[in-house]
Amino acid sequence: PQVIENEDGTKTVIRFHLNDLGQKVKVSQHIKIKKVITSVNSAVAARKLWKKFGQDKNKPPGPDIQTTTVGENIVLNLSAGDKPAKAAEAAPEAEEAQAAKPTTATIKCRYCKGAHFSAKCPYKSQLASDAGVGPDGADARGGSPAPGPDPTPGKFVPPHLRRGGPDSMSIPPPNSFRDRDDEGTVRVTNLPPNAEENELGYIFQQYGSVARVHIVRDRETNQPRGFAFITYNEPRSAEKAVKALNRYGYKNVLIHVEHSRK
Amino acid sequence: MRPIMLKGHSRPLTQIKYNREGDLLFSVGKDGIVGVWYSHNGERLGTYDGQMPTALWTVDPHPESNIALSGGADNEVHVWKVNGGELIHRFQFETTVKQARFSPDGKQLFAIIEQRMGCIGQTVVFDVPEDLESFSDEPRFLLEFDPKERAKVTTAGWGYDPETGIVLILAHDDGWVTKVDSNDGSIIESLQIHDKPGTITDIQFSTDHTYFITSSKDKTAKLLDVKTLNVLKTYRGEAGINTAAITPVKDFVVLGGGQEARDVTTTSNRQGNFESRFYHKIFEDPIGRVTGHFGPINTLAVHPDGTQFASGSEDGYIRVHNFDKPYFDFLYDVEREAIAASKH
Repeated sequence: PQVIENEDGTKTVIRFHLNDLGQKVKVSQHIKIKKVITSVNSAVAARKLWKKFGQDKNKPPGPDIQTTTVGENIVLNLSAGDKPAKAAEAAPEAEEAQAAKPTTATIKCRYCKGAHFSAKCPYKSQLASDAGVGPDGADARGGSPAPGPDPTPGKFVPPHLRRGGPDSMSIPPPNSFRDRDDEGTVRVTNLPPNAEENELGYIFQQYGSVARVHIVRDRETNQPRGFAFITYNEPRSAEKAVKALNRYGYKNVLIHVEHSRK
Repeated sequence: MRPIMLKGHSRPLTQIKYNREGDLLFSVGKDGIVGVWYSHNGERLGTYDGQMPTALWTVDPHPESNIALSGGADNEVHVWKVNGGELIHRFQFETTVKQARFSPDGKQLFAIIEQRMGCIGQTVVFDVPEDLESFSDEPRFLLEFDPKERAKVTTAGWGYDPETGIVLILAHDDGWVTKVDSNDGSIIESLQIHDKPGTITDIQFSTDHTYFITSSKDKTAKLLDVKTLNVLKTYRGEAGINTAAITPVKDFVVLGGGQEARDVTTTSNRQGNFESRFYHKIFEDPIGRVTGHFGPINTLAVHPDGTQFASGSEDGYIRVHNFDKPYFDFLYDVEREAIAASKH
């Protein structure tokens, strides 16, 4: 290996080797050696020289990979009044402020993932959402606020008593069971990870009313797995979609659309 | 900051402690292993192998760091030389040793013995000989509490009251705290700190031992003054708190524990969700958290220089974190104003 002493005190070490494919690889390392002298309590310095004992007897100086490793970078963000992640613990005012603001940004229909309220969806016309009043159905956890009486955050409120009418999760979207038998569903593969339900819904609803957009996600990490199922109300829409959208260029990638198989 | 992960234990950690200068970190766990580590790089100096491989509950280095003690389910407290791991003395008891610590002046040590069928729990205090070798099995004093009056002692620590001198603070299973004179074992004061059932899980002191923090299963940690036993501050957590520590230099406290029951099924434990939570010591607000552990945090310790902290968890790992610049720069607005005002 060639070692070059640079003018500014650094060293450059150049090595060549052949990699697995038989290609010649040049590795050039710039090394700067910095000696830092710190003052340490003499007792501490003495202890640094103690001999290793027990299970580490006769081991060489320096950390042993078996027992000591460096973890991933973690950021400790300090801020006054750091509230826990779950909204349930936030003060009622904070929760309302929080619920009011993003409500308009993240309205999502549970049936077709369109940007409108769920109430008995199918394919509610998308532009009607802004005039809506009351919380959307996209509340995942923690229970929606109760009507009138003080909503203790985190307290369970039965669906029929929540603000927003009988938005209970137990009512299945109309036609969904039938659809699954009638082959109105297409499978979309090669989806980029940043694909969103709203966007897919928008693209696919050009070929017919979409009953359901389901991007399949990893159960624990919630990351998209790269494919999705779009369910139409009419099987014919599915046909049209397959013909038109297969190998459609979406976000720099060609998505594949085919009939979903049982 | 990049935490250094210490993987010396195959079972949950039960206690970790820094020595007085902070260059060494001692650890014990349910696997019966005692680890001694250099805190600046995580290199392990050695393991004390003299105790039976049963769960060890407590470890404490002597202020001079030449000797250390460890105790646990083998019903013994071992005192051993840190340089070389040689046994110096074995104290034997009737049942499990739950906690044992050297006094800050290094002249005494206490051991808390568990309560079992047929044995009332005991608090035993021994003198530490000047030569740190010729230990005597004769206790200086021994305390027992009638279980009908006061629940057993779960943990304890040494405090300092400028008038009385060094005192022993005992923490009970029912949330009570008892202050005891270190010379003769006489009870100075006793009062309820945590709400029933309020088992006190940990007790740690400020650098000068004049105030301390208790953590409890009642989801709170409280800051108390040794002299008066007044509750100065209360920090609220989401779930039972297993351990708490006071940070030197910055006015913070750190709490460690498990998860709220409702979170257990909804969060994935692949993600290292268990966290140490930082609170402002004076304003009692939660100010930050450090995640990374895959199991509840059982023990926390802060480097005496306030530059680093370590957490030991049910997952068998110890994570050592060096604070970075933003940690030291963090101030509340009122603190900033106070500092600016005092400069004029």
